[in-house]
Amino acid sequence: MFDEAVVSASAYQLRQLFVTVVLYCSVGDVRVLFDKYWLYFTDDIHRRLRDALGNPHYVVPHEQLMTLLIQKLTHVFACIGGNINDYNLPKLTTHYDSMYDNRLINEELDHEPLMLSMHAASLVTQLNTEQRHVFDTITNRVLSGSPGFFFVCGHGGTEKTFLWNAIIVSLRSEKNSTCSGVIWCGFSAATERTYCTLNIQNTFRPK
Amino acid sequence: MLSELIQVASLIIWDEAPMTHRRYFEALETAMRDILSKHDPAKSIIPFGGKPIVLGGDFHQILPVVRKGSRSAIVGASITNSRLWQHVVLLRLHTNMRLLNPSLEESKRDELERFSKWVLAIGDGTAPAERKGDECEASWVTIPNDLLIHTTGDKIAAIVSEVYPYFLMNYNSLEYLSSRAIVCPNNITVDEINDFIVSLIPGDSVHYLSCDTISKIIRTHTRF
Repeated sequence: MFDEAVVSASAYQLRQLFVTVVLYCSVGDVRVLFDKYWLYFTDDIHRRLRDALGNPHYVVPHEQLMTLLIQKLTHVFACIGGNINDYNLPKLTTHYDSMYDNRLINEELDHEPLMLSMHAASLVTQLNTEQRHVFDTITNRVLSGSPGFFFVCGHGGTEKTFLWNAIIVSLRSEKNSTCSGVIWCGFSAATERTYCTLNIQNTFRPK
Repeated sequence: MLSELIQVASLIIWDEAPMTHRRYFEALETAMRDILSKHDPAKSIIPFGGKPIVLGGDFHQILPVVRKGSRSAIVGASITNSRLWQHVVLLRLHTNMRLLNPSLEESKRDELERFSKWVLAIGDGTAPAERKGDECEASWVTIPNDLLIHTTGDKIAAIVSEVYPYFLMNYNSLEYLSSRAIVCPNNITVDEINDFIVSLIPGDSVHYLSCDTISKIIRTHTRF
């Protein structure tokens, strides 16, 4: 199965597939499977490191690649509800900055800034004057970093949920601000699910 | 983990706030001052530790549920009676965007507008109301006739046939099922209506058991 997958799938997809197979398909020896294919799972990690260093010919040492891969796999396992330590896979040796290990924060870093800013621009143009006033008041307060306690009062049909989306997407796409993050909680009538979203500045990304 | 998330977040939005007991907001406020004053002691006296908070909601809608609570107990549980309310900046939205939807037909728009106005009038307390018995305040409103279903027979059968017309032809259509619902104030009524609808569906009922844990290896594959 992996022999076919490595030809066409991205490293991200391969990691998802690997975790799914390990969790649900009763693999005899997880370590043999891992050792056979693990290098294929690291394509994107490798490329990203080269880009970051500005050196297209840089060869990443295997130990470093392995560590970064295990970090990613730990995250994928955690998202599906498994624990990587239950399986015979390499263990993380080094300790990392606790901020980078925070899964709640990491999950919120997975957004494409360019897509977000295009989306934000289109949402903001759809706001009416009342909504625009609320939007400006809140985003200005957030971007200036000052405190504020607001209550947005509006009856059914005034599109509060739409307004929340516009505020969240626009703050997320605002990469230049010192810290642009949003936690969205509560029972939303339109979406019927609890949101908790956040987006933080680049300094928390691995160097 | 969560405290770090709260520290780096720059905005917290809490939707549908009026139905939440004011103590929840007060607990969050205290916790946030606690967390955010860790690095900056001055923040321990600013509401919410200086982090911008946006609450949203509609006071025409349901207030916090207080079990067997009196009217004053329910009002007392509302966010407006919290010590935090003195700091609030009220932002209002009035325009009903649903009515401005250009794809809406004229007749539908009129109907929707009439209904929205009526619902708002009830929320504002301006809809004509009657007093019953020895009540001190008039609180009984008349529901317009076009919103009522009249029947002399079984009431559940009547509402089901009204909400789910041609049910037997459509019961496995996803679009049909997802575009209608019957809402009840009590769970007992939900069960009664549910049992009735399930009894209409042809075929035998089968129980499927599921489990929410992953079993460890039972049989193993050595080839992959």
